[in-house]
Amino acid sequence: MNPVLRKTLADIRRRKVQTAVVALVVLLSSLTATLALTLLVESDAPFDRAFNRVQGAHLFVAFDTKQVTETQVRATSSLAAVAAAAGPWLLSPASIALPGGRTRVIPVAGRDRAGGAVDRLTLDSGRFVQRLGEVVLSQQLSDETGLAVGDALAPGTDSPLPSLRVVGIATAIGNEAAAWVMPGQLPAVSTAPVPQQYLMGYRLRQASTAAQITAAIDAITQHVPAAAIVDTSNYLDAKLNADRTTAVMIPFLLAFSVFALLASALIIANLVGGAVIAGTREIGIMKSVGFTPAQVVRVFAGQLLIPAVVGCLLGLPAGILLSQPFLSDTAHAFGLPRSFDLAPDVDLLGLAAILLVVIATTVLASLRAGRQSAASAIAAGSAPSSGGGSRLARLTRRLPMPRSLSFGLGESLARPVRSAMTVGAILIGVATVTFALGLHDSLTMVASAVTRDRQVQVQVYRDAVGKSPQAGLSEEQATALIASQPGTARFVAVGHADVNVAGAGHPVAVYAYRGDASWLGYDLIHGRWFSRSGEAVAPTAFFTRTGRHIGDSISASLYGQPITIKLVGEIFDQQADNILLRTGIETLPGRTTVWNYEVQLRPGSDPSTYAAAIESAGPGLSARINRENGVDTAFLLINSVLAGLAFILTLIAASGVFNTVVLNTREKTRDIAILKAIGMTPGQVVAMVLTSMAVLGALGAVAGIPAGVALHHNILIVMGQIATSTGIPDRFFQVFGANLLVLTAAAGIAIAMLGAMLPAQWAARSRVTEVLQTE
Amino acid sequence: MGRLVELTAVSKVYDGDREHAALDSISIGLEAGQATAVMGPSGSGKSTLLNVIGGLDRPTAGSVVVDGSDLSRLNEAALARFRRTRVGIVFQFFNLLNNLTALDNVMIPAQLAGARAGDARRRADDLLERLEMAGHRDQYPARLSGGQRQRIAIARALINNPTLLLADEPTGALDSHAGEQVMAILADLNRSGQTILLVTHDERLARANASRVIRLVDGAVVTDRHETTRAMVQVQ
Repeated sequence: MNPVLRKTLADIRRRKVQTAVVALVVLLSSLTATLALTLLVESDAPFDRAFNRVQGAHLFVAFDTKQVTETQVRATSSLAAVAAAAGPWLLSPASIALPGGRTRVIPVAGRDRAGGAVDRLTLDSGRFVQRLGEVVLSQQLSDETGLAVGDALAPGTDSPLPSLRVVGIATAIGNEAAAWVMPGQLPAVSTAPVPQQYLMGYRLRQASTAAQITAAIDAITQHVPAAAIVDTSNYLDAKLNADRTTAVMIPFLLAFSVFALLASALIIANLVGGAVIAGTREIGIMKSVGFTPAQVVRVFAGQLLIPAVVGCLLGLPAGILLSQPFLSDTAHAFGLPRSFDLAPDVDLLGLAAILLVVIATTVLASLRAGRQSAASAIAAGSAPSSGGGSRLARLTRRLPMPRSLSFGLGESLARPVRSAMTVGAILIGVATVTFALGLHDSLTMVASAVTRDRQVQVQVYRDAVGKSPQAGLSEEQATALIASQPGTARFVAVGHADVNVAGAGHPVAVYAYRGDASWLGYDLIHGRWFSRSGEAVAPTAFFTRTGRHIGDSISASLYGQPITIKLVGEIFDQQADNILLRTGIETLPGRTTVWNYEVQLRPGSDPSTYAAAIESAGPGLSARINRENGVDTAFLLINSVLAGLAFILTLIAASGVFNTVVLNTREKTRDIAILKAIGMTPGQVVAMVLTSMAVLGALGAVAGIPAGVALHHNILIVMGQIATSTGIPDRFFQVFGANLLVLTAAAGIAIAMLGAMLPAQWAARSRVTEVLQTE
Repeated sequence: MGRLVELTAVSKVYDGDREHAALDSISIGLEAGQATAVMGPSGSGKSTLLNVIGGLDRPTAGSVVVDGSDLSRLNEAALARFRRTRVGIVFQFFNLLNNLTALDNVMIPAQLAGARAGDARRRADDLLERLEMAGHRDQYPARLSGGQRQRIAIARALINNPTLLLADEPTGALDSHAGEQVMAILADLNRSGQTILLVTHDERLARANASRVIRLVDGAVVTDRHETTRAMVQVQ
């Protein structure tokens, strides 16, 4: 066997701990990088890939069954603009019973198979309906109601459906139906106020712009009787929403990838440097028996590269596997079907990058070994050190504290470069933890600000508005009913209108409130809430789009009537595309119809009971509990990705400390044995070693916390811009209270302790006689 | 005088090799105030015996009682406290901490035992003065000669007033002049009542300095001779 390889393999066998540390650190780094890169790649257009996989419909059109026949609808599939079509499926509103005695109307589709040319359903559990009496629920309905396979879906008031057995949960890329039954399950003629519809799903030959989709709708419209089309929806809004949310993750995924690579480089450089120092005498011996400098470099590089390659080869598949739950969550968050995703090109690129970092750090550090002369290496490796280390180390050893602790303090500064690299690894760990904890808290605030569930627990809708003047309660009656409920703490009526504003590009939605609406929970970014007629607040996107500023007065028009609105505040708002205004109802001319009410309940009131009471007492009113409106699961997804990556980076930082302590204690084996021989207890040895690392942990925390806070600040701004072009209220940045800072500072020391504990115990258990007799 | 050290059927086997026991059922006692030399060829078990008595190693079988403490009943922490307070150990290769000054090296055992820095420094200074090393108190070991390093090691061994001083080939790494100076210090200590157990392979040193000479071969005591008159003499 080649002598270089023989010596390399012998060193690997002899230095098991060093080999294991290299393999572990590289494994964790490649795992993190692979995980982050896989998420990064898969986060790019998850909607498009899922959409193509299930042959998603570019366009859904609902036809009124009273205006058009099934044959006429089916004939639209042969239009030139249509590449493929599925349907028609009968779509019927049906009332279902919810917990608490409430009911809810959901769209139910009659469909006899999950597959097809367009809009294939993906079954998450169970099977598709095969006979009457069975129902498959959408994943969203299942999440909201808690119903699972085997449960019964009970009918609500006046439902055309009997009690149905849930046989499957499915994901559809379009959210046109909340449940599917066999076609014969739906009655031929519905008695519900909302008419039955034929639903068609189309894949269009050209569907990349809204204009192309509008052209296809026009073609379909011309092919059926007038007024036959009652509703259309296309995939562009869903795609925009999914792409925007996944894009939000890109900044921090990139940050984590860079962190992982940086931490690995520091740890590996530290490790190689330590191996060279520890092997100084051996380098001299190798050279004296004829190894060339290049061969010495190869021996040192080889003993690190072999475990590094092993670490990479294990880390790559581990990262891919670990990314799958996150990707599955991503799919779930957007109602997309789950699948096993791979990004082999990018993963291999990541693998190459990590190996490059390992090779670069290894070769650079090994060059030092190659450059040393044989005589100086043997002399340096054999002779006792001639001094007391750095001046700072000497001073700290004299501090008035227990000897084991002052020794530990001194040791932490004995090798400044190694200590600095260890502090660097801890810094990265602490910055990551700080960033992750901060972002978690900020996102919790964002989620709460989006749902406003602390301020508004129930929304009451006047379903009959615009349909039948006789149906349901008048605004005054509805207002009186809500005011009379014992659970009502306060409420506000909301009217809606679309106004034309110069520069907005399209009609601007106006939400007009009757009464004090300042408590509704829209966080102010700048300015103040409106307080008088003619004043309004708007989200950041409105100001960006129109080029207006707080204090500006804008001219708008509603049904030709001019309105002047003064912009007094910029709010954090995640409604629609954020081109909207919120104002008092008196700002709008004429009598604006109230469509809904936002209600805050008294403490202790049960939202379900309250909603049921409203629905039973008020004809034409429906009540939604705020959490039923849907918490953005993207927040949960980002939080879980954050937690996973922060955990791995913490492990990497801890393994950096482990590495340093192993190097330090190996170099100090003789000193530790002497100290034990003259009376240092195992506990004092552990205390000494831990103290040395606690100092580095504290230094890492001191530097890592501001780095994490700065990262949090900047990435939150970028995420806000990417997500909805929104500014961020100051409150969302101010998450680093004293408790959190103490927690993150403790994290630095905890990372150091975590990494140091095992080698400290090894040092404490070392056999004095064996060490001292090998002198 | 009472017995300070009592070994009963002490055996020590490494890696389960019972054919070649480092110590083979040794039973001996050491009197307080006595200077005892343990002799024998290389590999006879001399250092192992010293390690077992000093609590640096545990016997495979048998009991070791030193100054009333049964070492087999002590855990690692208690053994460390025992080494710190009851014994002082002088090694052949000094085993000083190279990154500490002479004074700091001497002070450590006292500080580990909980002495205040001021008290430890006073005691260390006294010892350095007594061993004629006061002028070197702030120097690092690498700048001292072998004899000077061994004097520092002796001062360190004495800082906590141990009842037993163990010396493992204390002159083995020194030239003859330095070796004689070190032996003179040990003889002086013994005259002042310090119990000493000395491991050496130097016949002349053993005969000149110990009142009792125990010879080991293959881990067993082959002779245990008490001198009729105290033979510890000052070599200077």
